[in-house]
Amino acid sequence: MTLERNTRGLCVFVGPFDNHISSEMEQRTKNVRNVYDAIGELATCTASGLVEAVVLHESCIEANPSAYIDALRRVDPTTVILVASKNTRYTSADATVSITDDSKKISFAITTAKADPSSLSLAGEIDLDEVLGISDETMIEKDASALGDVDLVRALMHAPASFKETLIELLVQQTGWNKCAIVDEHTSVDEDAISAPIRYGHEEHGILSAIGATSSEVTRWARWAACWLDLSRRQQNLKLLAYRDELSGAWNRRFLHTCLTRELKIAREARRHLTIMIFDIDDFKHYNDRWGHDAGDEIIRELVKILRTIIRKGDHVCRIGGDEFAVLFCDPEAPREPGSNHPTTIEILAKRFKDQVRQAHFPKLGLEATGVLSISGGLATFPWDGMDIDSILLKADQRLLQSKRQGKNSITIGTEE
Amino acid sequence: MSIENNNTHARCVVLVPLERIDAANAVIEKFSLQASTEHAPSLAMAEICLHQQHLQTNKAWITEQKSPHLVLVHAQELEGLADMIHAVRKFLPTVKITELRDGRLEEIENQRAVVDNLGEMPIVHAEQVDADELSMLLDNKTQEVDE
Repeated sequence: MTLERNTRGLCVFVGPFDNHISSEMEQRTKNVRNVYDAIGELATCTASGLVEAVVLHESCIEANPSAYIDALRRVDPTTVILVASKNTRYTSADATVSITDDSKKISFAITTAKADPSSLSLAGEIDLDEVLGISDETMIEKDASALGDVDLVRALMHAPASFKETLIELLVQQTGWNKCAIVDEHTSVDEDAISAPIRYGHEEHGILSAIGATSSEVTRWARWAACWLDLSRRQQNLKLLAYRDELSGAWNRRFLHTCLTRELKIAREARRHLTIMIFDIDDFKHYNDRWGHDAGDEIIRELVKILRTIIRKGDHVCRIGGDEFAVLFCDPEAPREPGSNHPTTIEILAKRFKDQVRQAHFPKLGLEATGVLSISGGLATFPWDGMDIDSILLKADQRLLQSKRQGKNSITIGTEE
Repeated sequence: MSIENNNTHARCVVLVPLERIDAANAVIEKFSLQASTEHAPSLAMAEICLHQQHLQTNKAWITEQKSPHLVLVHAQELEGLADMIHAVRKFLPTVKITELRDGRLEEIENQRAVVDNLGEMPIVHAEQVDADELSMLLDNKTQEVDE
């Protein structure tokens, strides 16, 4: 007999939404007055009424958006959080919808946020070039009085963050315009300025706006700038593809090695310790075999989401194998959010993660699977457990095995074996 | 009710404005609380929820459980406090909420819960009484038996 599992959970609307929106949703819905009621719903929902998404009306969170969203995430990291807003984008939410969107658009946003790990913006929240050590201003020996294409190529390779700035400098030099800028459609420009869209195919890169230029000049240079800006964007996308795991949105093994090399160098110079945790999901094959690879994929994605709510800003989570992950703890600073006393010691973070996984629910596994997932892990710290990448990873791996041998569902921190 | 050191083993969250953190630290030390501090009501409620979930998950292994404890230190200064307390009462009724008053931790009375717990209105319908019985009851006289 095949059992059909209902993977649609409850959708909680917070704030003054029109009743017809919630009544027309595909999901079951519930309207609550404020975020505190939503937190309560998340915390007390039973396996038969899992909360799939929380849709926050902008007016309910304007006092402290990040604290409200963080609180919801702490209670249930797997729930999709949407904010309905007039014109503000809330990056800490899974997605932002318009306050005027109908039920279909909201349903679509929930489905997309659940399915698309890139919407987690996990990779986008940090400066990849900085982490990878690509940024190196010393490699740019530009002659400020006579810039050329070579300077743009150098900026692309060694200082992508200042690429646009170099492009503007070059434009002003080449054209003799009084002033020039790349703006977006919401930016107000001088009345004297001539503008033209910077467009490459269907890709929009802003608007070129210049003072002291003719319309045909601006249009021609906008086409030239579009080629360079598109090249820059593709370069960034390729870097993300090379270093990110597509399924989970976490970083990949290549990133771990590159980042660990750099962080070890920094830790050595600053005489600071650096900890790495390696963990895998206990009996992951069993989940794949019993519920299918689709369920396995969901577990991987949800685990990364849970981890993301627990680690600190400078920490990195990497998927280094099928169900094997590494977390690089390299944020030496205290609270993650202003006003929050988030745990900062790595042991507490690791334990909290283990507990959260134990409590997490995975709709694709069905109701009976709630709370059965567990992880085993091992921690290793520079310099005590090793001085180079290989020895630290080996030590963490050995402790992971130790956790497995001790009966799983545990994290071995660093006591002598 | 005043609370001294009778809840030291409960998991505790202290909600305090960021600029009053010293007061929270003094309370934690004075009452030997196992506490974490939060500066936003929403985050404090989230932490209390996590403590409650932890208790639920581990209840089979713990012989003596103590409910999570929310301590308010100058928390009236924080926006949304009343809504937060109302939600905690509604969803986590076993959570103990206390407030720092005159150097003591005093439990916030849950008057709303008393009303919520009443199943029916306490109205007693008296049996029909006639004028003589009423007179007897009011005047506290025994009724004379007619011969």
